[in-house]
Amino acid sequence: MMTAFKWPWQYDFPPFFTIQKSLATKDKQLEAWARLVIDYAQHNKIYSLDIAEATTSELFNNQKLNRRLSTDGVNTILTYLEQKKLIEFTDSGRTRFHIFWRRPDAWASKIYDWAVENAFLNTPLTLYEITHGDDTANQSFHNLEREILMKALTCLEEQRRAQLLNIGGENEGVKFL
Amino acid sequence: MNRLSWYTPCESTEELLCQAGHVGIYDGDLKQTQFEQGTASLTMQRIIWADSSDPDRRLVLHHSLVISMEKHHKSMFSKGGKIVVKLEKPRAGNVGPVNASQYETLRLVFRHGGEDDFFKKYDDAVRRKTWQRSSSGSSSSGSRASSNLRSVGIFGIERRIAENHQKTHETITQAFDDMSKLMETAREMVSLSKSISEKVRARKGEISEDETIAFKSYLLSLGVSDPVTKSTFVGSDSEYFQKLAKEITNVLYEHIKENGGMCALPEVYCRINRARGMELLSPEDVMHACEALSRINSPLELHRFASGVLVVQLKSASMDSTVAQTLEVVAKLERASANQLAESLGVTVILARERLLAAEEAGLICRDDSIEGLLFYPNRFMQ
Repeated sequence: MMTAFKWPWQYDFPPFFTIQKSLATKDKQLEAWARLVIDYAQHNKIYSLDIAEATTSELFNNQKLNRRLSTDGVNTILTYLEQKKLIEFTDSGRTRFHIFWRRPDAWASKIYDWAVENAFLNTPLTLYEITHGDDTANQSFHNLEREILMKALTCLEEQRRAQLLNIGGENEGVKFL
Repeated sequence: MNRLSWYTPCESTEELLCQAGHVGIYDGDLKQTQFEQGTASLTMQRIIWADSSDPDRRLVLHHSLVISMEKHHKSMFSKGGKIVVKLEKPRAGNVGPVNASQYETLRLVFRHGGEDDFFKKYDDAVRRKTWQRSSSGSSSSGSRASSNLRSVGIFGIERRIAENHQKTHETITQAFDDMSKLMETAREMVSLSKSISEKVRARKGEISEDETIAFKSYLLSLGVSDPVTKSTFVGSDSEYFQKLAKEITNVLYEHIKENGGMCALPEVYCRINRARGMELLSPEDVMHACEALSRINSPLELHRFASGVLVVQLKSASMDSTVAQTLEVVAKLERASANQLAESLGVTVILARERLLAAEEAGLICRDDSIEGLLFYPNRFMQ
């Protein structure tokens, strides 16, 4: 059971929904927005979002205050997040993006630690097993999106701690080394 | 037709304002006239018409008889442009070519044009009523006699004062009527303002309260009686601007002190020119004078906001303290729009807005731009 998301104080502060003109203030504001977006995504286990969807979601709309961040404002924040490498657009039209509330390398070490603890080294595992298997039900990367999982595993492969198997084929898998 | 009289020379000199040839005079709607073709000359007092075939046959139409006039443009069927003049009843003892007429109007027909110019000057001359002042002729002697009759004793003095007031008032009203008239009466106004202020100075305590108030109101509309003018400072612009800066300080210091310590430049311009009343300053001169404020050790200074808006403000109210004051007010109100700030500080909305933007620039407040308008909150982001 998920506990209710605890909104930061900024969420109830009307100026939060106007991109500030003063640069120093704007920096602080964007910082706060970035943290909110990441925390919100982490709390709700959101791995990717559609911009149109995001713009209308409660994240950028405070109905209690009757304030919403404008489309331009959302773009500003996403650009900021992109610069901080906290999100990544998945298409050239910039309509969808991944949210890395954990960086792919952070995911990678989580997954590797789990594999070591459970003695899965040198054992081929399917990708499905890792994200949807019973063994990982309690892990933070349960239900992790495939594309992010792939990024994490690619990371491990570069570190020579994993080998990807049959990618693109029927039984996609990975072997931790 | 019976308003026309035979020409007699005027006592005072007459100035020719306008002349038009080939003018006919017709009575009312009649198509026939004995005065078919002649030259019409316009003076400040009257129109003189001289017959083309017999130059000694001259008629006069005095302006005092004119009630109203209108201009009819040349149409396809008429011979020329017309001015139709509506006239008062003929005066008794009028000696003219025609003794009786059923019409109240006369037509002046301009066969060869020129009616536009003539009409304009004619209308102007009639409106000015110069004959009332200059002529001591038969027309006004009657009324003058009757007023003299009553102008004795205290009542007479009071009456004369009232007349003088009336005249002064008219002069002032006329002067502000338009710029050309202002230029005409400027000299008169200067001497008038001086004489009024001298009178007030000389008779302090002796004149009644009503008179004092009346004088003061005149002085107020006249403003500064002895304005600093550019011509008195030939060559040295900077000295001129410094004097002007001093004048601006004198005129505006109290006002600015009482109204939030700040005054936008357009308002400075209006106020200083209102105070001077004449010898008006150009916007450039006002601006240069405001720039000179810093050179004369004035309690005021010119300040430019980041947005480019220029204000004259108290030196004591330098930007840091106004920014802090703005934050204070915003914090007290919890949130504030430019209007609300303007209200609570007693400054104009433009200035309030500038102050908010300055405080925002300083990072003390932050904006909330929503459908409710632009509001400002204390900047909690920076805390």
